[in-house]
Amino acid sequence: MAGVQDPRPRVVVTGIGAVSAAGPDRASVLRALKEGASALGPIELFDGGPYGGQLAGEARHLPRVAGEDRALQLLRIAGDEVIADAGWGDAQRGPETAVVLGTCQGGIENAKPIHRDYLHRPCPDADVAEAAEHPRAFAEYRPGAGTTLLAEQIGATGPRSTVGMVCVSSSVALIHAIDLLRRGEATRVVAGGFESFTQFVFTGFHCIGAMATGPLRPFDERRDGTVLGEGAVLLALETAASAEARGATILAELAGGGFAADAFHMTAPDPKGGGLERAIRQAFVDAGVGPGDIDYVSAHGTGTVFNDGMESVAFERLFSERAEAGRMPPISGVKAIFGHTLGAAGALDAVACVLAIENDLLPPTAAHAEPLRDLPWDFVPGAGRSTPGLDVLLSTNSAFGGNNSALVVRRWGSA
Amino acid sequence: MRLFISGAGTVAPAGLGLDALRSALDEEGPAFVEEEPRPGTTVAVGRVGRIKSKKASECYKRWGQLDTYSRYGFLAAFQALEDAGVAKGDPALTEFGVMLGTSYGCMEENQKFDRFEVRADKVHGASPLVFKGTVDNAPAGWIAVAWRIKGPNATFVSGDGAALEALWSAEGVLRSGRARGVLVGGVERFVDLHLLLRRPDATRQGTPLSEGAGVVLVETDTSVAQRGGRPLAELLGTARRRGDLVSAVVAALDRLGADPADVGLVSLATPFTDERCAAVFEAVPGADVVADKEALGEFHGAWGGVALGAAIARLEPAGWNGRPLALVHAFGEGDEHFFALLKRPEAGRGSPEEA
Repeated sequence: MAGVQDPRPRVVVTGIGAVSAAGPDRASVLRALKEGASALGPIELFDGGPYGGQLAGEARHLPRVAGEDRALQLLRIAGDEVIADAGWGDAQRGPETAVVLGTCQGGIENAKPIHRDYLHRPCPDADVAEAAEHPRAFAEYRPGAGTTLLAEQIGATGPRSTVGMVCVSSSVALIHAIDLLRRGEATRVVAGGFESFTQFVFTGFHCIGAMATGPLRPFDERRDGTVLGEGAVLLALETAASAEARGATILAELAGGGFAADAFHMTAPDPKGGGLERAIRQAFVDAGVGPGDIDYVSAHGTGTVFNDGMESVAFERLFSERAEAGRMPPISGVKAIFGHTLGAAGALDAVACVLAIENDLLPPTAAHAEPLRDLPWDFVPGAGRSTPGLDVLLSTNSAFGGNNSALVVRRWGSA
Repeated sequence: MRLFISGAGTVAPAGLGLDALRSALDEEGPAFVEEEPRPGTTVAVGRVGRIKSKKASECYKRWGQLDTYSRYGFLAAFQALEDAGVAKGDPALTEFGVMLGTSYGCMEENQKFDRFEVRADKVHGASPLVFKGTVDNAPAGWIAVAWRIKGPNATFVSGDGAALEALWSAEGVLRSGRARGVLVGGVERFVDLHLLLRRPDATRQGTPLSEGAGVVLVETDTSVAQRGGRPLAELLGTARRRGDLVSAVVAALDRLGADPADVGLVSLATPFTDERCAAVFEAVPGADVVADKEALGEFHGAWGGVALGAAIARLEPAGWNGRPLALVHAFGEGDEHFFALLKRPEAGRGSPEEA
């Protein structure tokens, strides 16, 4: 791509909203990345005893609001922050502002009574059901409900899209947002994902044997499963022209993305990492970069035997020349800190990249001590590491259904 | 780069495939049944019923593991690939993608899985097999796994416009060279919960709820030519426009560079009782303005895929009112509308040379 002017609008990040187990805002995410302190702990939202006392990344700081779905509560808080952080006001409301979100099971928390009540008996009178028994749950159960609520909250009347792809939901939402901006369907987009920690999803992961017995240990030989978290993570995206015209602070550029299928198995990743490699290569082409340009990789790093193994094989092949030359880029998995936030995971990883660029900070892999397969790579164990010159970063995710995604996040002005 | 629809498949209460859609549209009328979700309230709904597709089960050894929602998408994709002449193992498949839309997604599997209980300090009734169906991207995943389709794979859950949003996204994927073909469409599995969510009553039930899937294979001109495929129609483009329906139709045609005088079919996602239909007649004079949901039902997120199939089905025997173009519409979220503009082949089903 050298010497060729890309005619597409460039897409930049001008704001972040992030609620997670580490705290209610982006500052708490940054603090956790610097300290490498795990926010995981015993389950409080329901009795974790029957499940074996496993850990969770619950947002314990979150006040309970009666009747409000927890996922939508997380989203509402992150929505307030992202708008304030981007400095958007009345001028940024309206049809030129879009919302694109990803979620796995957003809105499922309040669906439980609906499931229980109406599965085995005739439907009640509609008015009784809506007005008395479950006042908000009906409206909030549909997958796209969060997108609608956030759009109304921030005054966005442009396109509204929702992606339902489990753990790559929010990263594909970010890629879709880039597409909307490049194709001129919006000037700015709030994009990201949200997910609450629920007994429904936890039970599912538990019954397939995917949960860790202790800490989440990405890329560690001792890893034995994942730990679920929760959060809502949003990025304010706009065309560079829009951001520059209003004198906004540009945090980073979303330079490109890619997504591809394993076509291997519904719940197990392709052990050769073929789908992930294709997604990354697509992202490289889209962003006009190559493996030699990457300064850091924020990996999916769920801590399961299969996922981390698959990722390491894909990275090994992708960065083979650099590995042979001893110049493998640092790779870390921030889920050890926040837990696996499913529908919010891709956006959280992307935010880790943005914060890395903004703060010259390598995000760490907490609880990491024994590299898998004894790989001589830098998994950034322990705390975050001060590292200048982080210009081109790669964020990757994978999901049930054999989905994979990759995003290239670039320092604004470095290309 | 030109894009072609080289295969189509549908699953609907009327039956499998475009012939069944054509019959429902032309002769036999709706395939709805009366149900009584609560005492004293009768509603018409369109249910697919038991699928007896021996071919599909022979095509995929894990057919028995698929939930019903996934089966609908899978069967529609199967028909689209078969219609396009793409067999399992075709090397082109590795460069194809799958992009689907749905409104309610995996709700049925959610309901099933949510039967688990914690009793005596143990978890009972949590089924791993059911859990893997509690993801909205299950149909797209199964399709990719079964046919080894390794390109871009996405699932949109953006309400009733989700299938055409998938097409909008797929157009970008194809034009940017990320795939040579994409299976695109929508899937919806009707569950009783929808009756509650929709608040049916005698005065407000609107178009009968329906279920099923519609999937088309969209390929680049190069891909169709290389395979010797025979296009059903050309996809001139997609558009998403906001505002009232009529101005959105006009804006979409303008955006896509189409002369309204060339448009012979406008397929709207609203019933004829909607007065906006009359206004579209005036905006696109001489075109057949159709409301296929009246005959086929409200497919929600699957609508765009089913509507594409219906538009193609309408090419035979009468064509698109003697004109080359058809505009297919679906409602998006908020006041957004999605559109796809199709062009018929020169004569009958297209030739590889046409691509």
